[in-house]
Amino acid sequence: MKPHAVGSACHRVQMELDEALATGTLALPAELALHADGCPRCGPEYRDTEALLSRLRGAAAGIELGPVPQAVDKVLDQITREAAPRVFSMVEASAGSPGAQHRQKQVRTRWILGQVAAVAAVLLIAVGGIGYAILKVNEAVSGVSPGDVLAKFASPFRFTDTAKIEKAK
Amino acid sequence: MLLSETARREAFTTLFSQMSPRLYRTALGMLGNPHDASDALQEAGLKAYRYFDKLQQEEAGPAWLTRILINACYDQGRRRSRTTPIGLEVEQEEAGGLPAETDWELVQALQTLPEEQRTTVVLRFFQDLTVPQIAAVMNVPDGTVKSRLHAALSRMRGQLMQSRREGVQ
Ligand SMILES: [Zn+2]
Repeated sequence: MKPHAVGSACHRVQMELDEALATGTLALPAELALHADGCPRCGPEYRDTEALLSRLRGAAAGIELGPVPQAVDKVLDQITREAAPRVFSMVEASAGSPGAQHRQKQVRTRWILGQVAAVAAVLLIAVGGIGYAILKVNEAVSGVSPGDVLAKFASPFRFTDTAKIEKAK
Repeated sequence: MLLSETARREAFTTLFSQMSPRLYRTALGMLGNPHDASDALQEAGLKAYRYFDKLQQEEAGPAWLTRILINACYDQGRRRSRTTPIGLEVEQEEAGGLPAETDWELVQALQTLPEEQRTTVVLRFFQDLTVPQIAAVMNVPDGTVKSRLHAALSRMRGQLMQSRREGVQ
């Protein structure tokens, strides 16, 4: 098809149609719309563009949304399940199913036991460290090694054992 | 911790529930069938919840969620192209009877477009975004959006004109 003469009505319609394809909005000035309606050269392209744009807008509105609620529910169920181990809320536990409550209880018990074990380990390490430090200070002041102090501390128990052995003999 | 976790979940639930019809329409336009669209919507929802902390401003939520959905659609499309020859699935579904209100001819015409052009058209008409909004979602200049939209709509106009002519014959 021959290109439209620059500045002619057909050319101006063509420019407007190009802009409509680039933006998705067709708004011909009234006099150009009147021209395009009756013009055999630019009219068909104008009508096809207008039909396509209105069909695209209509297609979005006509889409069946049937699967949406189910998909949304699945997502919300999943994130509630994922969040459960992180949230130890009795309110949520009472709202859930018996199985979910049982799982939450198990998770909570494991979490509490883990915390207790961690605190016990820290205390043990701290007591050991402090005791050793005291023995080292004592060694520096009195010259008695930590081994000797421990031997002296344990001697009453050893004496008892020896006495029992002697008695048994 | 409990409060912020609950508040986080509530904020996400509100955003996702409000956006889900628009997101599903977008996914359907991108993927061409309800089953894949529903899967993409779910995948996007779960991914969005995992990264919900990274969303700085509430008002950026819709664009952010749309971007996640688009990526989920790309992933879904790639998985599908590895397992199903293009076109086969659509024919099978049409035989099974898809909901009548949806303009399937137009949705299938969209599937013939290159990925970026299809995304642009879908965001423009199925989410009713403006050119600058699409540019922000796709992280490209406005001019790129316009040229993609122009190329896509010209092609669709040609296809639909041809199918109408074939229908008349
Ligand atoms: Zn004309």
